[in-house]
Amino acid sequence: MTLDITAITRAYDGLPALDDVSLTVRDGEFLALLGPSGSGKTTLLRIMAGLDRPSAGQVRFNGEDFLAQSPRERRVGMVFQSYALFRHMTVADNIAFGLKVRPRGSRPGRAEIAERVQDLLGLIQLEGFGARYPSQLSGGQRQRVALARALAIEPRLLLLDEPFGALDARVRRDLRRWLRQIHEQTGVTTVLVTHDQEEALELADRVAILKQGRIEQVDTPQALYDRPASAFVHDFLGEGLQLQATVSRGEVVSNDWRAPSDAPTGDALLCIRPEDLEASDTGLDGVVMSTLRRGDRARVAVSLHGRRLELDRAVGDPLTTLAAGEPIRLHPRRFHVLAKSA
Amino acid sequence: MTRPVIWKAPSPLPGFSLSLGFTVAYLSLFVLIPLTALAIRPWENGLDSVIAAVSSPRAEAALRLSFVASAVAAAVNAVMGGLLAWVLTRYDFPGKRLADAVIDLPFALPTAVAGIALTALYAQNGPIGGLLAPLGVKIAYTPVGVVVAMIFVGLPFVVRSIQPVLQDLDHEVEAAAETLGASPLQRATRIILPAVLPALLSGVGLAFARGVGEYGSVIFIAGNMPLRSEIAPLLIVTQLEQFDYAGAATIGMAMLILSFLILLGFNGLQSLIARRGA
Amino acid sequence: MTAQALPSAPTVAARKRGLGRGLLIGLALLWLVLIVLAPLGVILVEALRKGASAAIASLSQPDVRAAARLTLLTTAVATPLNAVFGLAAAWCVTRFDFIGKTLLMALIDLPLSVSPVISGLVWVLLFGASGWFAPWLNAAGLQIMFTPVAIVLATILVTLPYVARELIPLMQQQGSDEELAALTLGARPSAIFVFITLPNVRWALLYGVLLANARAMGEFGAVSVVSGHIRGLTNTLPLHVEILYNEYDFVGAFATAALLAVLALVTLILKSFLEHRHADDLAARGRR
Repeated sequence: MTLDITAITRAYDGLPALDDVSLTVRDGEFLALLGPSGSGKTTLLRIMAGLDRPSAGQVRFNGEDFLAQSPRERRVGMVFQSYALFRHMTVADNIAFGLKVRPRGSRPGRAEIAERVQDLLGLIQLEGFGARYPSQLSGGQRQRVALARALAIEPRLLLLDEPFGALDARVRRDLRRWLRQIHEQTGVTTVLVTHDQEEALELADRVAILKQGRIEQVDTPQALYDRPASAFVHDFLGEGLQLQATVSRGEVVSNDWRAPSDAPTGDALLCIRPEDLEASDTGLDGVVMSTLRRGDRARVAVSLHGRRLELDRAVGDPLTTLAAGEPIRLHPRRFHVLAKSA
Repeated sequence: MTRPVIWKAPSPLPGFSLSLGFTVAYLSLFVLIPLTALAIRPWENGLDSVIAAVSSPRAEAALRLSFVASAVAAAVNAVMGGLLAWVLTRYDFPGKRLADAVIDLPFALPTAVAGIALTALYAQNGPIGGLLAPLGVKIAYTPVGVVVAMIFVGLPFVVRSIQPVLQDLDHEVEAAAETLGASPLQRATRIILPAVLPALLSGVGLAFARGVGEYGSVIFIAGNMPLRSEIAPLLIVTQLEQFDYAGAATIGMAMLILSFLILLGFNGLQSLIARRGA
Repeated sequence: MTAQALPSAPTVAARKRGLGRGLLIGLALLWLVLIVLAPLGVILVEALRKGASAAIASLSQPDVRAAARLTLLTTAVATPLNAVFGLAAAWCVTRFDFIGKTLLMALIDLPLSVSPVISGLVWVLLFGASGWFAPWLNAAGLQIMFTPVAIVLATILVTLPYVARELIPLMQQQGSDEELAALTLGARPSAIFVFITLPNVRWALLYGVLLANARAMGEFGAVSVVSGHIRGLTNTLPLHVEILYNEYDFVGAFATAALLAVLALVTLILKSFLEHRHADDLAARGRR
């Protein structure tokens, strides 16, 4: 039961929110749509849910033409950023809603619905909360109810739109862990939209990075980190430095530093992760700006070729003994030569 | 391929055609078609008759009375309504909740009821009229009576417009002014009044519009003498009784246009002030 | 509001402030009594001028009862219709974006800014003796003007905006998230409306109905224009007050007026109750 998205374009008043986006979500996979605001990730999610229509392109789920189906027919569970719980219904009624509105023929009996609600309350670890109202719950609890409500209809596809955005950091982390567990238990194909890279990398089997309506790269978190397809991806995930460089005659040159590279000739960005830099006689010229010691780690801020970067080192590292203003040479063990975007 | 004109943003929610269709049909039936009749009828005898109807001494007097009396009443309400709003939001006193609820009485009371009550109050032999009679002051059956009735109907509009704004005023701004040495009067005129002004104007505009069109509260206490104490709505009724449909429609149309222009001016004033202050 | 008082001089200032406050409160309350409460008092006094039994006797007159019936009938027709209209208008205006929305909302507000006499006049222009539809009506032998039908039409026009104006800001504020969620959960349009939308707006709906109801019962100007003023047949309670008053039956007029005033007070009580108990469920229109 794969979700095949082909050449989706969605334009508002002539401005494209999504531009020729193609993507496949595999059966049972947890895919994250990651990108800055305005990148089109929520638009893409809403098209999957049937809450928005593309101007062009196809969406097929399990071979069926999704676009021809209404949100009701698609059997897609959706969790909104604002939870959208039915404020005048109890938690139990909220969860049971999708089952209660089924047409007479396929509606489960009252006893069965009640049992399912209890099971789900157990799954979200809110047993005993059935009679409460949404206004009596905390943000984290409300979000769990929203998820249970979506799961109650046994969706073929679960869509989450920045579900943890409105919660504080601690609750976010707990819910992330818990969501991953739920996914492992239920095995439902899940698509999560988020702007938080930590969240995407922790939860997803694969991550699709979007920029201005286009997909930059789709890959596993580790592959995205190790083999970024563009400077945008490199910058978006993890810390890094991007320096202007030129590639000619098999060499990448940035200021007066050069190294062999098989990247295509022309202008490019030299992308380096802080952990790949080591002090050396040959390397990029820079200057130490400050050193901040915290426990057994130290943060050394350096300026390389005019750009600021923070290096995280153990306190014993010789780098941490340098004073502010001292010149330094840092050699990248690893680097990427990338175009600005894919 | 030419882009089709999109007059509605697509939405997954159901019920658009049904709700819009019903709404438009209902509005056409009860508002648009009747309004069109009002717009067209005055002209059935030509432009000249329209001008004649509007500029006849009786019509001019009636329109003048309605508009001027309402303006005076609105001005009085601006001051006293402002005071009421101030007292209700800033001070605590026994019976405050009752006083607050009573303000809506002119909204809820049928106009005819208010009309006969006000007349009884301010007639020469009434409780208040009787007090003023020896001083030679007549209220009932004069234009002054009209103003009093309009004050009654307009009171809630002004108070209810100002109250929420006063409520939400940032006390810190006033406290800052106080620490800078402003006296209570200065704080009232320089800090509070400008902040409340848009809402005040809005309320005054509403009270004014209501007063101009008011009928039931006014016709009992007004003298209803043509050229002296006849309000415009009464003139309309009189002309209808004489089957002068075009004449009645003309006065009605004149009232609408005049009110519209004045309210437009008010809104313009409001935006001007709001823009400067915000 | 008062700072930590040091002895002597500031106490005098505080006392002056208290005096000023007292003066303002007194002035405001005096004004309130004069303008709003005095009329109420007069109604009661005049109604009971010849004793309570005389007042009650006048209320039991068949004409008064007929007027009451017509008032109730009119309200019973106009208010539900306008409630349905309010729901429909609020739904399409707050849940969708389309060209002409502003015009639509202006039309909905129009009856509020127009003199009630004009709201009656327009029906005369349509259905009166030389109205637009007069030829057809005459041919069919139908009469609308000066009958209860005209009274109902005029009342509908006058009370048209009330429910819509309560629902629109509230539904705008609430947003459509819950309805969209219900959609994704598989609910049919009717289920969405009945189980999600209506419960969320029930207090605002009630409030709007209350206001529309009060206006419908008390409407005078518009109804006066289209009614035949025929006692016992085409008179509503407010019109009957006028008739009695013009006949110098002051006890009768004020007794009927007192009845209407009591209804108005009940309306105020219910209104106040709704505003205090369910403030969050009414639109944020400055209600406390």
